[in-house]
Amino acid sequence: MRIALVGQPNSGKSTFFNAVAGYRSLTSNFAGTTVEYTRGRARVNGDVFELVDMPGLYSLTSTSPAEACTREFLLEHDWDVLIHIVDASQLARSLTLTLELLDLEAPLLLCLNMMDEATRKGMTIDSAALSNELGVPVVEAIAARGQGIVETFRAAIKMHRQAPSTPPRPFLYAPEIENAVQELAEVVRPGGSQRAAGAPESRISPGRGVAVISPPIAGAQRLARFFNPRFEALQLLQGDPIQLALRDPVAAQATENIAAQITQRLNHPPDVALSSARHAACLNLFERVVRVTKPKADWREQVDRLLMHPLWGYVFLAAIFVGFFRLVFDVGKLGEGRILALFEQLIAILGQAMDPQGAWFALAQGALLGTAGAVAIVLPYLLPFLIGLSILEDVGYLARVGYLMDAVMHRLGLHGTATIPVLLGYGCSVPAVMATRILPSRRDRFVAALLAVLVPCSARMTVIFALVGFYLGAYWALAIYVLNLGVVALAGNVLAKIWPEIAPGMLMEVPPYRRPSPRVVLLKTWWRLREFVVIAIPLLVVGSAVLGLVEFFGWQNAINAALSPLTALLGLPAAVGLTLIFGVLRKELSLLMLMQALGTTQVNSVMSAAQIVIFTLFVTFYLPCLATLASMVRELGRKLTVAAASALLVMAVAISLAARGVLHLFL
Amino acid sequence: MDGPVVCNLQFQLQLIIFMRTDTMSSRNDVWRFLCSGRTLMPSIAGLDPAVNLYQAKPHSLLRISLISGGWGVRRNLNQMGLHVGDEVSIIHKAPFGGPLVIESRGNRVAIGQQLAQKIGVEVVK
Repeated sequence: MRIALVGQPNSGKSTFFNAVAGYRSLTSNFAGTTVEYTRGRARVNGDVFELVDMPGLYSLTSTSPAEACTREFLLEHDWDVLIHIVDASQLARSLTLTLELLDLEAPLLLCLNMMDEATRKGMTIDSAALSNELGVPVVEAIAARGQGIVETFRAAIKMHRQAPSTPPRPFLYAPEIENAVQELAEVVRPGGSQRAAGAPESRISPGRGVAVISPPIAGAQRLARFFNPRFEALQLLQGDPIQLALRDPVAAQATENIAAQITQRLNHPPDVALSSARHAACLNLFERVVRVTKPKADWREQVDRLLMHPLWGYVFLAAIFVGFFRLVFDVGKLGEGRILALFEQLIAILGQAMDPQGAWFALAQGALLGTAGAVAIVLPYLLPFLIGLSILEDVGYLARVGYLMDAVMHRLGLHGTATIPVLLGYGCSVPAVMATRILPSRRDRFVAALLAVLVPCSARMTVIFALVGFYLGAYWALAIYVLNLGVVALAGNVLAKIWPEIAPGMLMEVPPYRRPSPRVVLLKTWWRLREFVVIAIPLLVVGSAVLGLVEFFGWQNAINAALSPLTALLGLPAAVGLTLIFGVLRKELSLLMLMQALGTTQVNSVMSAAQIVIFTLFVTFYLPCLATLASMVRELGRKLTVAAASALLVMAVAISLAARGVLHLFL
Repeated sequence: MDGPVVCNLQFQLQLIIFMRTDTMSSRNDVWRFLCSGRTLMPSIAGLDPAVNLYQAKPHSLLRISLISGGWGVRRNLNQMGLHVGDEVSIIHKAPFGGPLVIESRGNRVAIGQQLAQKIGVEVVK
């Protein structure tokens, strides 16, 4: 038996999933965090079943990647019972999706989650009446407190047991619409009467599926028993006319004719007519089953008045993030020193056990240094950072950050939602690039990822402070920092010109503040950390081992010679060539290797002040580290990653050259 | 709905861009670009600037009277529970042309400036 969870973003589906199916799903107070659907085996009162948690969606006609994933599952996979989980405090709006789900004519259970929130808003919901009106079972729950979860699943299992369960009646629209829908349903039915013999076959294949939205899939993969012409016709009428025309000209023609009829009769295009009809029906339903009294005074209202204030909002934003980074930095520094010491001991032990002159030692030492880089230098910062971020997210503050930063981000050609990945970049570029997934379009993801990797991560900050800060003073380090901000702004502006922002702008739910659950915060942190562990650590270990061998065999001279055109162009000593390669593995490695390559810890005895600045600038801006590149390939694809990397390289050379031209005036 | 006339090269170029754009909202904009100057959407005509949502007074009760824009804009707003005829009020307004937070039946939504300008409202109270 398979139960599927569906619901609007932020309605608490994942809480249900996590409660019974182990540690596989993320919950958040930020719309759109779950991108792939998650399956798990669950056991409730001795009944074992398969549970599927899907990304939130607002409507079956939605098209963002996460929402498309849910629709594809609903239409093309086999499931027995569907549980629609709604935020009871948003009942009127949420019911529109329930009506759409009824059109599937498949077993459906409605679960009213967050009943406490609804009570706080002064709503008294008569769920028995609601169940009567909709013709589906309705269960109440407060999943965050563990209430009603077991009852929900038991009700779903009971529904399945009472086979053959009669499918719910679909929601019927006005007769004008229903007639038109019937007419179109005749056309889309395979071998439909209206389709003349010899006419090109429509690409709509049997299945719950809709050719309009989901890409055509081989007929065998679709489940013929689910084919529902009425549902198909409804989706055609509400779908994007252009996309339909591209995919299936035959169906498009029929749809266009019928859409024109509806438009003429009702004065609205069919998508508006259907959506308005559902909306009106839901408001009606809401009036009948909900009694609304005056809501209790809410302290959260006062908090928002401060945190979203046109002036104080920004003061708090700055304070919260300064405090946050301070905390991450302090905790990270504490961990870094101790773990690094541990690895040094390990290498010493290794040196005793193996021949320190042998190639195997060079290989093992390289691998160990790579592991140390990930475990000792990145993890101590990444872990507190991700925990803190999960807390901010689940409390609901990140949505407010998006609201406050929207105007600023527009100057950079992005909107407020993109603030989060860019801010993440100050910690580590890897989670920053991963976070671009919350953005709707490929263009936004690309721009946000590029800006996020331009922002100096903690490793690059180490280089800036240890080289420029140490040898030239704190003000020079600060100047590089300011220059970096300028470059980020400029890059954003230029990108916005080259590849203009075409999304209509921000449209985002503002969730109420909620108390984060420690379990969910830790789960989410682990989930994100796992991606870093899986992608970055193997690369670092292998890469470092290879570089260990390069050193062992003395190939560095050849590499330095190969890179000499670049180093000469920038006016740097040829010996720094190899350190730039190391820098691609781990940014702060270029610092350590610089001292090794130059044969001294007194860098200023070998390099001039100007050279130190140019070297630091180049290291700050050129290619992102290998781990970041790997996550960019994962999120953006290979082509865009190559484009971004080349752009960064060109930019780094340009900035360093400009610095070379200007610096002699000051130094 | 009048379709665009498929005749010139520019249209075909745009169509290629359109097919390669991956979100509906951006496709929709290309679509509108394609149809600019033609009568595609009856409601696309400019709004009286005094009555768009962005310029309405915060905290007063408003009613959505018009959603201008194409399929994608309508769909996105409808999904957030915003339809023509709904009563809304502006709760917060960010400075420097930032977004609005509006409330409709206890549901709070942040709306960017450009989008808010596509929503026509009339003042109820």
